[in-house]
Amino acid sequence: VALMLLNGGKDKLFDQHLGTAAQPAAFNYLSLTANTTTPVATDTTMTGEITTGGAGLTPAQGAYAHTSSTNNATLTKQFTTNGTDSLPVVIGQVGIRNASAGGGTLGYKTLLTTTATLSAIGDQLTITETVTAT
Amino acid sequence: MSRLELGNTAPLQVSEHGHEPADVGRTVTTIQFPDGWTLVEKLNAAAHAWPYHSADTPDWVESDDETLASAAAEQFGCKQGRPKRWR
Repeated sequence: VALMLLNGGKDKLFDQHLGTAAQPAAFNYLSLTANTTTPVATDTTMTGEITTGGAGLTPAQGAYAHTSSTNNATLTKQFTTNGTDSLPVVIGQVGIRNASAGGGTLGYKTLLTTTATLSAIGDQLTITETVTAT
Repeated sequence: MSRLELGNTAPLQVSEHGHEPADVGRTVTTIQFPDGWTLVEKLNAAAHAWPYHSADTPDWVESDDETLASAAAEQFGCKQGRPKRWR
């Protein structure tokens, strides 16, 4: 399912590219939730976003990759559950923020076509989000 | 923050049909890793991200982190260091 650029993300995007004031922080924190409500552009939060301190599934920075002259970039992060996570959990949606722990602005959301079930400590989920400029 | 550069001879970009060959010639894919990531985390992310950027294996890899460059070259089965013929 395509990544949805939310209204809050659009505003920060323009501020980052064209603004003359201090630039907003980069959107490179991936966050997870079990919620499967279809995103809409006016969303500013992720219902049920996992933000438990010390848990393996809390929002974390991804690796940013871009190929010169192409129209896309990726953010990749492998999440590994630990003893602080509430398991089992079925991940249904991914968000991209510009700060950790549910802070900053929520810029993007993706509803997963296939959910991911994490059952035990040490289970891993690797997310790669593709952001395209058109 | 460390970075990994990969020589990309078959770059991809996104169209309405999905990932397709990008008509930009050979180019370079750059991956930036957050501070604090382990070598294994970096290699895993590079392996997962690469298929979204290229239809072929990297021609070469280069990094400001010698250990990462060496491990990535082994992982991708390519040479380490940007050849002089590359822009």
